[in-house]
Amino acid sequence: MKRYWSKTLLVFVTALLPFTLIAQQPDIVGDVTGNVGSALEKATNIISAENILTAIVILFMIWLTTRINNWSMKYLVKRFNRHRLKILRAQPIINVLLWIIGLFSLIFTLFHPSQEALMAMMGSSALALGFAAQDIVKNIFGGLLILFDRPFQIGDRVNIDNSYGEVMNIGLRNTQINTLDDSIVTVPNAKIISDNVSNANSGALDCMVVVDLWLPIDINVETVRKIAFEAAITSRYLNIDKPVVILFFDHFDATPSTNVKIKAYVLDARYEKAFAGDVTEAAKKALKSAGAYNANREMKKLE
Amino acid sequence: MKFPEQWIKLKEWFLDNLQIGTNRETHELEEVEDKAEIPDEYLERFTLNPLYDKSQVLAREEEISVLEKAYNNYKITKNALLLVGEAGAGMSSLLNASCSLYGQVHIMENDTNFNSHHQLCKELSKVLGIEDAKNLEDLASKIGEEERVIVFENVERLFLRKVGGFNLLEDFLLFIHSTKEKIYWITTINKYSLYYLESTIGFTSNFLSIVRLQPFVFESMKKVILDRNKSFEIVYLKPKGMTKRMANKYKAMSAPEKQESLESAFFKQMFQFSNGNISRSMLFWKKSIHRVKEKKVYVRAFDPKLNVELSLHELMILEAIMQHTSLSVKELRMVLRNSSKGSRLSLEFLREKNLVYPKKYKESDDLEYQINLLYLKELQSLFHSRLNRNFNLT
Repeated sequence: MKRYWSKTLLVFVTALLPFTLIAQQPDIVGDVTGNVGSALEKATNIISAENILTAIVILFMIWLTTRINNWSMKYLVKRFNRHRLKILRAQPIINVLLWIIGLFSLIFTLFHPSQEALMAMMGSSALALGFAAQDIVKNIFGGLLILFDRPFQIGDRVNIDNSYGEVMNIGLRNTQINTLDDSIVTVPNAKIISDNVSNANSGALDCMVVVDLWLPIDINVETVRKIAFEAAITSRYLNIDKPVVILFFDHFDATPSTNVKIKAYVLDARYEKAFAGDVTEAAKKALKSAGAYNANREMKKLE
Repeated sequence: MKFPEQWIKLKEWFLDNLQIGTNRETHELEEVEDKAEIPDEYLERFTLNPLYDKSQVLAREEEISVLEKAYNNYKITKNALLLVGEAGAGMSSLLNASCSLYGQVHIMENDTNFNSHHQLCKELSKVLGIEDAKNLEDLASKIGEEERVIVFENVERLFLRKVGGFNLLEDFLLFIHSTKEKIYWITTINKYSLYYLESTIGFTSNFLSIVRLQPFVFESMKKVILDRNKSFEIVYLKPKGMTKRMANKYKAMSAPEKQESLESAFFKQMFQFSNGNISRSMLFWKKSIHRVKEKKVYVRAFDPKLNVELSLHELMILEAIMQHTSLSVKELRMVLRNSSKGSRLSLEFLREKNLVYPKKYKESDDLEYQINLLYLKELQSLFHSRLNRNFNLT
């Protein structure tokens, strides 16, 4: 303990030594006082009430402009539903640009930084950000990459990290997905750029839906093909401008069965599940009345 | 608010005595708000029923000559003809006017949907004068050697958008193929039904001869409307919500100049609305009539905006009706795989909004709902934007 106190005293005295030396030199003291005074004056000029108020107003204006942008995009989406995805694509880019332009103009108009100061500020910011906010920076760069590289856009149906749904928002730090059970999943952008992403519609309004029907192996293929085809083309959710394809695959597992795949396009990716449900319902009803599908027989087979 | 009798008399005198074309002030007349009843005898001139008299069918000489050519081709190639046109474009009237080309012709108007093979077989048997035909194959085998021409209108009435709902249409097409040597079949279909049937089952591949009915050009449309107003003087009123600049422009004109300018603007607006569809032009005219009095018709261009927010479900109902021309509640339930009550409720809502109207046909027990032609284009445009339908809107 005694040793500890003596060590602390030594450090304290060593630290004070330069100050005692400076105090003995009147010229040096005068310079330092002058410098500190000018720095303090500059700082007081920068952090004046007027400047703070201006900064607050500008930040509020930027925030308000992004809100107006979001609102106008929502209106445009409603008005021109057909071009929904293109409009939504522009929304985050405009917001990011608004913030960048706003913040830069704020710094340049209020602080008039010199080139050296700017470089120093950027250097120190980079260093500080590098250490303190490594993950955040990674996410921000991820967000920028997503915005400009476009692996997906707002409105696309994507599967990221086992979460499948519609991209609702691409932010600077994270991306939000509305899953089929109406949950909002927030995925950090850094994770998205390092993981595999599957995109079902890639910017198009419609997307392909595959409806699987499992039927007995001895079905009448001709009848089933007609029913499956008509179940798809009569669905109100069908994109009638695209083709409908029916495929058959036999499976010889524990219970031999035929897998009928109905491949068709839904008019809007948002109605993907409604379309699949509608086609399944219609096909099942028709198959049952045609005698091609018998639930009791299937159950017995399973037993 | 009740006006004193003297005031009403004065107003009547004022309206009766004001003449467009005189030096008197006319703008008061153009601001008249109250709508007088339109006499039935005048409205009858604008009913949307097909015309049967060839002399009444105007500006269709070119189409009749195309039909004549198609018939001459049939005599060599023996192919059926498909006539495609927009609902209300005047297909029935054109076919009635072209009857003289064929000598003896049977026209099946088909106002309601066919529900069964039996019903179709019965109707065809009646036209062909064959009794005891069990089915279409049997009917085809009993047709004699005599050559005939049969117009089968609204072929879309043979399908219902449900699983198994295309069988009747397919069988009819087979029937056409098996009888085309003896019968010249002229079938008609509306444009929106064809869009669906072509995209899904490639309907037109069954016809080598297809005639697409072109809409009326501006001058023809104007002529048809003015022709129906024969013996009436037309007074064009200033449109509502006119800009100050326009109002000043009209003020500076003499009365005949003003009428000329208003007439030109009116018909431009009508053409823009109807796109050359004659039924829609007539509806526009009817909606624009402000007053009919003593052989004078006062018209003010009507604003056809569709100010209704429609849900996805409602749009789908409207599309289903447009695909089939008309649907009963029962049929709509089958098409949308809905409950009967749900379909009825939705239809009632659309009826209240004036988007559909019920029609009772002699042959049918149920009410059939049809699209209000007034909103045909607006609805098709909504299908294009909200249901992603790439239907050619022009």
